[in-house]
Amino acid sequence: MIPARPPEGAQHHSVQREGMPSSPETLLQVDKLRVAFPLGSSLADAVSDVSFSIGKGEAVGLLGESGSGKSMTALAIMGLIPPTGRIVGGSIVFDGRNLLAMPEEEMRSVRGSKISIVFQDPLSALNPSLRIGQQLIHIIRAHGRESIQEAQRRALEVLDLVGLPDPTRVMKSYAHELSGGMRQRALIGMAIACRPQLLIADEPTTALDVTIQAQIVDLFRQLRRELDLTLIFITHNLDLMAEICDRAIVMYGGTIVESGVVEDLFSRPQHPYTNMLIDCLPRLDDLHRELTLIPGMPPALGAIAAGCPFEPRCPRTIDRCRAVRPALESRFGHMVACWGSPV
Amino acid sequence: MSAPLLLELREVSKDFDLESSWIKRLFVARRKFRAVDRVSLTIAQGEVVGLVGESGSGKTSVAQMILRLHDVSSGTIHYRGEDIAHQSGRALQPFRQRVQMVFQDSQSALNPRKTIRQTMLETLRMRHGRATDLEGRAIELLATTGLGPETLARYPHALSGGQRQRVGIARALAMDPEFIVADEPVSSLDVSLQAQIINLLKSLRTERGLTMLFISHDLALVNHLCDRVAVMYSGRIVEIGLPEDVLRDSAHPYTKALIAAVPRGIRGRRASVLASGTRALAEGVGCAFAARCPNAMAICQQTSPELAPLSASHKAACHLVNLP
Repeated sequence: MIPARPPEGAQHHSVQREGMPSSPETLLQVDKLRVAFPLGSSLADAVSDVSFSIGKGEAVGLLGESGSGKSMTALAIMGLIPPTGRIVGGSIVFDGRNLLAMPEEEMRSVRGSKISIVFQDPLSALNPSLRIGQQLIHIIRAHGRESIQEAQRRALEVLDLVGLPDPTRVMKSYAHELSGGMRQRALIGMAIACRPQLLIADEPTTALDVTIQAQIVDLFRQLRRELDLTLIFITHNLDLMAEICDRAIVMYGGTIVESGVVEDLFSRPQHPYTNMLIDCLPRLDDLHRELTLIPGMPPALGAIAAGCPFEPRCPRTIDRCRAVRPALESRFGHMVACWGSPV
Repeated sequence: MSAPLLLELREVSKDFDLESSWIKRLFVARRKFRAVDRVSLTIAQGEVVGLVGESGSGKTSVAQMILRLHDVSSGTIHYRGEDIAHQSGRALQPFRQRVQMVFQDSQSALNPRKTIRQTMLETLRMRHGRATDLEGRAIELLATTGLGPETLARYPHALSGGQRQRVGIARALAMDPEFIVADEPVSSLDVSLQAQIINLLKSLRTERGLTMLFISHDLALVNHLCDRVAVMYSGRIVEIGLPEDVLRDSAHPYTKALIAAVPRGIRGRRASVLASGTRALAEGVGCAFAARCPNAMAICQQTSPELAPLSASHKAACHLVNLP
């Protein structure tokens, strides 16, 4: 369990945070989630023992490299685990109901309307053979009782809300006729069309130019403010995450290795992995600094030993790391799973 | 700079035909799109030059013309003093061996039906003929890029994005090039892998004395790797200079906007975000950036600014900086 808001978090830097709830009421509670895939004759964990909670109106970043389990966690929340995978244990309680115990029929009414997701690649997430308007109207009508005219009006509203110029024209366009930034806006529009409570954004800006990325980040901040959205923002870029999120969860090898308020994570990263994620980012304000390398590769599915999953790549290992997996413990107001001494 | 000039682009332009019908192309006035507009750029031996700009700014077209994947519409490209823009066929072969490209999308740059061994040997055979130990050479090259010999037996789909990008680099090195054009080689990779590839390119540069044109839209990356930076907008170079000049003392409002767009984490949030701009298809008058520029003046609508020197190393094309 992660404390919703450690007392140290009160001090903020120059970054202004919008939409901060004064007393966050829990919207999503993930408890001991375990997602496994068959590997040979056994099961290999893609996500193991992941627990966290997200308060209403919060924006939480889910960080890590490819294969860290961040996207799989998001897919588990959406009930969209690939068919070969299985949720082996744990619970996901959303707005008081356990999503994992829900029949598919009911889950379908939650997905896309109460919880929705924005994928990384808008070109493959949008239907290439339907106009944007048709897709939007379809989504709106699938979850409500709107007439076509009402749905059309809503669709135009939504496209306007996500900052698309000339919504009427966009309604009539196919995905390939829009630029990358416009496509991503249209996709975000579809995700918020049914006014979801929780929006998951899975690397929504990775495929975009820096200038467009900045616009999309601004859009998320604006939507959070205007629609009172709760946001899970998945990324591997800490700097980007920090511009949107209040809190961050760092994942590695399918487990949470560190979590806490963004400012705390940046100023006092406790896990060597978090530290390295911060240092490997090239930045504009330092000249000719050598980028810190995280040696090696993230572990392959099923290749995680009994000890700490980060041990093979860690610069600060001790004997214990190999034998026993560290559990999350509180340190300086945030949670960290590391045997190393506090820094 | 004392190093000899390796590459020199002089007033290079590229026009693409917008008319799809060849009859119209022949007989009716052609509608053209100027992707690259009178770009001049020099790269000295051993230098790493960064070319930055948004999608559609013409940076990839510049790279493709340098590699002769596209013909120039006008202007000249000299490589070691020879005009390669107007050579063709066999005459280009020695040049093609010396210049190699690393692509953005490593997935589509490698043949999915060939193992890495086949891909590497095919390239090595082109370079060395049927010399005996090509496999040993392939292992050596993969090792340079941090890959083990077991990679040889794999197919591209069995490798991660970072590994595939390394194979792409190893394959480029197989031709013993002196000049590498890297077109957004890390933009599809995780930050941790990005750092690995950037450091690899850096070490190749010091160990092999490689000259490089590094294309990216990420200014922070360019800052880490490049000796000089050129910023392109709408087919033209709008600012060029040392990283200190362009990134810390930028003169062009577009460069400033690009810098402002780089995520800064908790160290403070940018002031403003550049609005999307549509690019005029016709050869417009005035500065191409004027419509998006926060500092546009009357003159910006009328005449297009030329690159003017600000210091010995720094040039910008903006009416603001050319004011007396």
